Amino acid sequence: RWWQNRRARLLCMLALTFLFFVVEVVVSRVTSSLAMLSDSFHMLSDVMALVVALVAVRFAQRTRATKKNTFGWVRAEVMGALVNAVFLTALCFTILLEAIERFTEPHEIQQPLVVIGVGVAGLIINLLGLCLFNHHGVGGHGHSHGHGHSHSGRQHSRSGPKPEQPPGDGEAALHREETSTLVENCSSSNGVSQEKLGDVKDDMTDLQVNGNAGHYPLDVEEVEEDSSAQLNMRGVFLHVFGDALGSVIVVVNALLFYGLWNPCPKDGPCFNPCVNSHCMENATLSQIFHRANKSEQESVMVAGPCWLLYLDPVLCLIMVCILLYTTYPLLRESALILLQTVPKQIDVHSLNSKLRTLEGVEAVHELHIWQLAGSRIIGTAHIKCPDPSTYMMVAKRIKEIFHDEGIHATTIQPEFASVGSESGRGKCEFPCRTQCALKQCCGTGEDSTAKKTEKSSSLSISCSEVVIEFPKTRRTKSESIPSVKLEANTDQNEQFESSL
Amino acid sequence: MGRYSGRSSRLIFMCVVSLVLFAVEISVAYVGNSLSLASDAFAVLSHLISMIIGLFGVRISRIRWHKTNTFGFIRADVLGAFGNSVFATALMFSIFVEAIKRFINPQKTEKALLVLIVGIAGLCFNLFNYVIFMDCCYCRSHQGDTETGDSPNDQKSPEEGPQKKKEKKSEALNIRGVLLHVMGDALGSVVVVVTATIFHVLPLGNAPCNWQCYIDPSLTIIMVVIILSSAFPLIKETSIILLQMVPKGVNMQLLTDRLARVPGVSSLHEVHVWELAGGKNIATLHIKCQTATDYQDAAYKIRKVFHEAGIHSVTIQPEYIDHKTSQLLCSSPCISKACDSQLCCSQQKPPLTKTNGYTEKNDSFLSTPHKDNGSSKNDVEIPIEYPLAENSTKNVKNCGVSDDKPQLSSTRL
Repeated sequence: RWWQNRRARLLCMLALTFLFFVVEVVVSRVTSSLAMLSDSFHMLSDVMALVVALVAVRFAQRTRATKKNTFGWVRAEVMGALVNAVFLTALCFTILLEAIERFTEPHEIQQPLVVIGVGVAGLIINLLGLCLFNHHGVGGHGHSHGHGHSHSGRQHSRSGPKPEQPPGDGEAALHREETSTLVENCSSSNGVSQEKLGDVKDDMTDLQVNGNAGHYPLDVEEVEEDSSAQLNMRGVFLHVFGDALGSVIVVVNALLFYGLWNPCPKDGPCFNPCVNSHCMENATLSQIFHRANKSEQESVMVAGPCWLLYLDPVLCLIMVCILLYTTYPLLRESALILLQTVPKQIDVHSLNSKLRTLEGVEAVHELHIWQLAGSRIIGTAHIKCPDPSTYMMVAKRIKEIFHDEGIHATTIQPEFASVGSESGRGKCEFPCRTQCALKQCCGTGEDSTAKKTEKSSSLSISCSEVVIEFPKTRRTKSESIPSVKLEANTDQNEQFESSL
Repeated sequence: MGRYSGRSSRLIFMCVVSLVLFAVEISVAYVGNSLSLASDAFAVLSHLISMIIGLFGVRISRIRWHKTNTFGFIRADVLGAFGNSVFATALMFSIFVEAIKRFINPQKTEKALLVLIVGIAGLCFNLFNYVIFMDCCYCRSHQGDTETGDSPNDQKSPEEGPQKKKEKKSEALNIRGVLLHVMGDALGSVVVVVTATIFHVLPLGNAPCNWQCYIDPSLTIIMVVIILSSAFPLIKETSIILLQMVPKGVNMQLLTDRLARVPGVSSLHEVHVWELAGGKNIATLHIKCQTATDYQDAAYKIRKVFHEAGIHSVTIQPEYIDHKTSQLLCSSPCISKACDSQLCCSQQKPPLTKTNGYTEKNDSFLSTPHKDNGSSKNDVEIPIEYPLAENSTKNVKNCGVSDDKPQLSSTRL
């Protein structure tokens, strides 16, 4: 079952692509065709994308905490996906540049047969790559967790449509159809093994639920392949997809050229109306010459339909549009994870209200929820309770609420109003209250209550803003605080009043 | 106006100027049929894109709380810098490819005078750009440091000075990303000017290419190397933040040592330290204590330890010692063990555990099985981690070790 392994697939594709790159460079040198050389460098960029994905996969397997990274390296795959997406966007940009160049200076394809041959070979390799990674790109969900929890079911349904290519563009649908019919064989052959994998996974989850599952019969990476790995694979898939489109364009262009183009023969006068060069004056001159010698009028050749020369850039533009359209969701998703946003399926407000309505909970603040990578969601909260025994009663319930939302790694800090700090405040305690307000991650929305003095309220506002130099700037900044933040403030205000 | 709005309005101004310049260059390139002008126009466009990314980062990072992001979008700056540097790297890669093509197929620069003029115009624009950004971000930051001394706010302690610099550093990260593009552009213009000058002074006419044709690609390759060498440190710095790594000034070993020595703490685990953006460090940990008063005292001291290490947002979860559960493992990871794979750091694999006062003993005990698994270890891992619990017997063994601890800690109290 080596093809199931992510790393094996990446290595295989890497080897193939690199080999093809070398072959293309050699052929371009032999035929001295510049177009083939630039196409070969597209393959090289593909190689780089695969290397990035491979490095990310290698890193992300170390899920243990280390001295340098207390979370392990699970996030490397999300980073790999982002790097690939940005790389792809930059690549689209350069392809756009080349296409515009071709518009201003169209040139014909020399030796279309060779180009067709190499193009078809490239297309085959790219289709193979699509087949290898399509498994991940489109609905590869037979693979994900076989958990019996309801929330994970919800999560699956949410992320189900996600990796599929977006509908809409006619071209995109056409290409999707092509790739899906071609990869049918691949997925059916993989289908059997997927089911087997699913069975084994069910056994394993039973083991886990029952006791201390100490051993994993399969490779750990099979089991733990979740949406972060899918993101990474999607990045690679999009690169290969872009390359495949490029090969399709090359082949189509070369075929049409071979079929329809009337080239200028090497001997005899020829007028090429399409190429706008300074040679044209010479050409018109020679044409005038020939008209003067009326006997040779018929021998003036005109090179061939001009629109063919513009076909290449137009197709390239279409390809760029398709690529950008399909890359944008990947870019957005990985960026949102890296920005520490709350995962889409969780509603912070409702979670907050659920926690607050628990008996024994007086206030909730500093509630933070973020996604480390894939399905690992982390939450922290400060819960204010009247005394420690009440806290012991609600602690389990709090964890259950988080668990139901799919947040399994939580750190709950209880704060007791009866001990120490002034009532109603209950915020993070002492050394870091005043001096370090600016260094706290988010000091603020939660504690600027109306009861505070002007000084501390301005301090709390200053916590939320960037460095402040003068008091007057502080006030202007307070005006520019977005209204969403004030909403958070009023929530907390209500809380404090009720606790008093 | 505050410094922040100055920056974004400058960015907007530069965006508009770039857009105008791009439009002018592309139309002139089409009319005059010059290839190099077209590529220069696209350089300006890429510049524009990078500034848009930078602007986006600056604008969004002002949002401090949003329903989709409990931390606010402070990290957008860092992400913008990362995106910009990866974009610059990719562009450098394609420029490198073009240079290689030029080596294989050398071409003369035609109409050297026109190219020279446009090159000088591009260079001026880039220098202007650079000066504006430098003035906006770096010069002001120096002024800001001197003004900290006479800041009217008495509450701020002198340690605010370096802290302010840290916050500026995160916005500066974003601007550094944009400056990377500016620098790339400027160097490109320098290369164009030098090549065009040489071709203007020593025109080749119809002669075949001599050494002059190879100047352009060689200078371009030097430029690529220079820019890549300044892009990589930026990528590294932003990756440290984005990968949730331990921030640079924090020594985990030392920190956990100090934390373990706080009285009242029997053991601690799930210690996580990471940087949100711009010097704001966040930590979470679970501690095991005997009683609630233990926890209260210990909590204060723990915060002090973190404060001295530069970490100011700490969330501490107390777990009370229960003789039934294993001492060392987390007693409340989630409500059931089935959630293990969704925990941030798997509990099946041993957590970063530290116990109070018995580390040496545990070390010597645990390091022997550790050596058995030497092949799976990396050097970066803290040596106190005991090996992967390959079977349940090892877990039992660890529990056995920890059984004598409750008695010892109770006598201590």
